[in-house]
Amino acid sequence: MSDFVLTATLRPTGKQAAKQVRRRGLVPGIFYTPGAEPIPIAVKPLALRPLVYTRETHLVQLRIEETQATYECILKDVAFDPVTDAITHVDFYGISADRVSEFEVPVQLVGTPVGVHEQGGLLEQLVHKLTVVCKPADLPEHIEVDVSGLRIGQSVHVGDLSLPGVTFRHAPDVAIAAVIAKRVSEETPMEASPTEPELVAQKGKKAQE
Amino acid sequence: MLLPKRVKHRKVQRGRRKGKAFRGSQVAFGAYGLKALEPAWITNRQIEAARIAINRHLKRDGKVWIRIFPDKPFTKKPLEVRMGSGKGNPEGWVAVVKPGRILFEVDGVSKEAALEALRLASHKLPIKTKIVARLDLVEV
Repeated sequence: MSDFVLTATLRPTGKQAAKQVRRRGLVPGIFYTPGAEPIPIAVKPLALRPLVYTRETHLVQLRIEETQATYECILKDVAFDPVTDAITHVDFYGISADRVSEFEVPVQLVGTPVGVHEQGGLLEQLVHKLTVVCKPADLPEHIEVDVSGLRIGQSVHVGDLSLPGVTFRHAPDVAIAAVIAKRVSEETPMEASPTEPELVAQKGKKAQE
Repeated sequence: MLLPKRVKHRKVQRGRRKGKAFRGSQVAFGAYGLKALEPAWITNRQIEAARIAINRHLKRDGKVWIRIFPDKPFTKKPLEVRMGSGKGNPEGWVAVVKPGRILFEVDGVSKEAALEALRLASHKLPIKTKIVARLDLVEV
């Protein structure tokens, strides 16, 4: 598990204060942990990028400049601007070594399936992140899923995975990756549909009849 | 072409397209997506044209997701008809799109093929768009 050191400054709470932080070129954020008061912070967007755009889980050492305190946490949530895709807010969740917490871990597929290189199928990744419950010491950087044995029509499920000290928050039958057959025709026309949709009968009219 | 199977009302009011698309604004299924940068009514014909452009470029490879659905009927009055006498006849179906909305997603092909397919699709749409990647594929 790689540790990531991030420096943050304190900021006042509130919508206007957060807007001012953004105008100064920083990203407003919050640090929270069970049983403690949340700490509103501001971080530099460039320092956040390797943490947000990644295929790994990182434990973050969040250092507050004013108090010189350091907290061990994870990046819990990120908010983006819908149009510019700029980071508008970040949530950090404090963890402790002896407490079990919920984490989102990226899934990485390993190998080329038999169904792809021999049967000409298409590998489809259905889940990109899995929610796991574990202690920080057991937290994997990513979950490797071997798909090399998959043939067309076969899939890997959450139930097929096992990691020591880690519980999955998904049903065992949730599919992670599957090999599907490629489309037969070059251009699949959409199913012919009626030109006019059916009108849902209204309750009032029914009652009158 | 895409249109609803059942509707509650044949004709609806036009509504407004204020604000940004806070939902459906991140690539969720595929690797690359086409994002709307302007508000618009996108007709089912435009969606179909863009879908065909993507599929034609990708040939049999890859998978395509259409993230919008034309569930709003629009009406038109016949030519040379005076105003009044009620609302016009239903003419087609549109999807209400706000800036930020992901319109199409592509996966299972190389980056070059996906970007070219989405570029071709963008030319079939009446709005400015940009191509975006899933978070873990963004180059830092």
